Amino acid sequence: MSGIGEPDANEQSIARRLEEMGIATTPDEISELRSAYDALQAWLGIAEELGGDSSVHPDEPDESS
Amino acid sequence: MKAVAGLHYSSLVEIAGELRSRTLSPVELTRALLTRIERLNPELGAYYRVFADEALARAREAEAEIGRGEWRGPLHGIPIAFKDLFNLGPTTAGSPLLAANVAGKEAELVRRARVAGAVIMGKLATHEFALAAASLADQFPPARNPWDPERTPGGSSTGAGTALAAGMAFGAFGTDTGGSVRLPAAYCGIVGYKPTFGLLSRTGIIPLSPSLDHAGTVARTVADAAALAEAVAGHDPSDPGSNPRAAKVITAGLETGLRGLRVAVPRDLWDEASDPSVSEKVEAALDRLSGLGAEVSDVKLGVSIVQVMAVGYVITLAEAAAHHLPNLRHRTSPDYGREFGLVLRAGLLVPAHSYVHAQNARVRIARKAAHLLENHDVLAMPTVGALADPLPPGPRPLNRRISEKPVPQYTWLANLTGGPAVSVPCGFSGSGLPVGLQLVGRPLNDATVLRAAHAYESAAEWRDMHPPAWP
Repeated sequence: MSGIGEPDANEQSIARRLEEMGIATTPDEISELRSAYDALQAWLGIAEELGGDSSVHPDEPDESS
Repeated sequence: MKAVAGLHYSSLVEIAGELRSRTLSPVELTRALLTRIERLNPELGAYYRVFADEALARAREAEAEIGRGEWRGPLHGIPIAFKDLFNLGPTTAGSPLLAANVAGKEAELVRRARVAGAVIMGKLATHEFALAAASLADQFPPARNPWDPERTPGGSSTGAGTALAAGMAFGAFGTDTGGSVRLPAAYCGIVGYKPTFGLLSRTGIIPLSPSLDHAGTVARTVADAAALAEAVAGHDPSDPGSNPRAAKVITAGLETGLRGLRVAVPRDLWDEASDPSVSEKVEAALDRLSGLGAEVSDVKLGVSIVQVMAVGYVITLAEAAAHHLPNLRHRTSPDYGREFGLVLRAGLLVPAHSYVHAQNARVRIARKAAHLLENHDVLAMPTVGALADPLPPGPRPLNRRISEKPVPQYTWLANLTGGPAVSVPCGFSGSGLPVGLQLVGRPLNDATVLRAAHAYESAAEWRDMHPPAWP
């Protein structure tokens, strides 16, 4: 856990990842990205839940049918 | 010659008939519409640019050709417009980054519209790069909803929605990655048609998410929306998504009615998330479809709207970020608008494996929809489960866009499946804002979706209702 006034660990992680890609990002942009990060993670989780199974194939029988 | 006064809300197909029979002059029609645009555009902001001189020149050509008996088809002499995402003269994508950009080669659909004899009136407002919501603080003033100018017309084809709802064009071409022709149609009380993926060329349209991007049409009637698409449809080898098997003729059978048409209602997708004022109107529309002879039945799709939108957005964010990466790396002034710049950075935080998962999930969702459409002709649902929002005073916070409880946009389903979808007006809320019914069909079966939408529209009273502030 970060201390008071210190950047949140996720903010640091976001800033580092964008910096590694050569993307300049201001502290307030990082803060706003952090505010949406949990929702983004939830979306990625949904994508994995529905599409993470490597058996997805055009000929696969649909389990919902 | 017929007087042109009061024709601005006429349908494209009706006007085409008048032009062909030479009871109406394309020059007088264009001139009258230019006058209306000049009067309304300062308040409604539908157009970024108006090509008045060029439009009149094309109208004169059309008048001469039709006079010689050389009628080219339903777009000949018809004033239409393009979203400012199509390469055509000054092309900004609604972004400060491209404020001074002038396109070189014109988009393929622009070229085809010219060949069809259309009179191109100008460039229509858009959300920045077809994604970031326009705000009152933007460099480009936002288009406003003619039913309530303090509210958004919906996007991202914002200007198309405004122009058609306020009688400032007879048709428009927009783009649709997650609903961008159907959402403004629903919010503005008009028709938006997203054809089957691959039916309309995307060459020369600034991309957002190439695996989901479609071109589409916005009009006041279903027949108009279909006629616009049919006039420019056909294989384009320079668009890797173009489908040579896509039928060029989509208006055949438009008048054959609903009897026996099997309509599936995927309740699990939309019932709980939708605003009651929207659901009430859609339920009434379903009753009307049933009364017209359709067989309406409840079904389960097996995925929620949050799942559908999450998958669509993960793909869109990742593809948009990849496309814009070179610009992001060389941050310049002018730059992207704040919301779009943040959206792109969020897209860069999507790992490669998550993008692959999302594409796999898309296949699975499309398969579920295809399964329902084996025994039904169309799926019916709201276009969007909300009414038009007030225009935001400034850039919207990113967590409004990327949210675990997004505004339910049922449009995303057809972008994932690639199938045709139409939004048609189905009533008004108690506050007087339009509501849209969406019909979704099997890929390559555009004619059936258009037939169903046309039959509903013809039986309902909504197509003749126009914003009272702009008579």
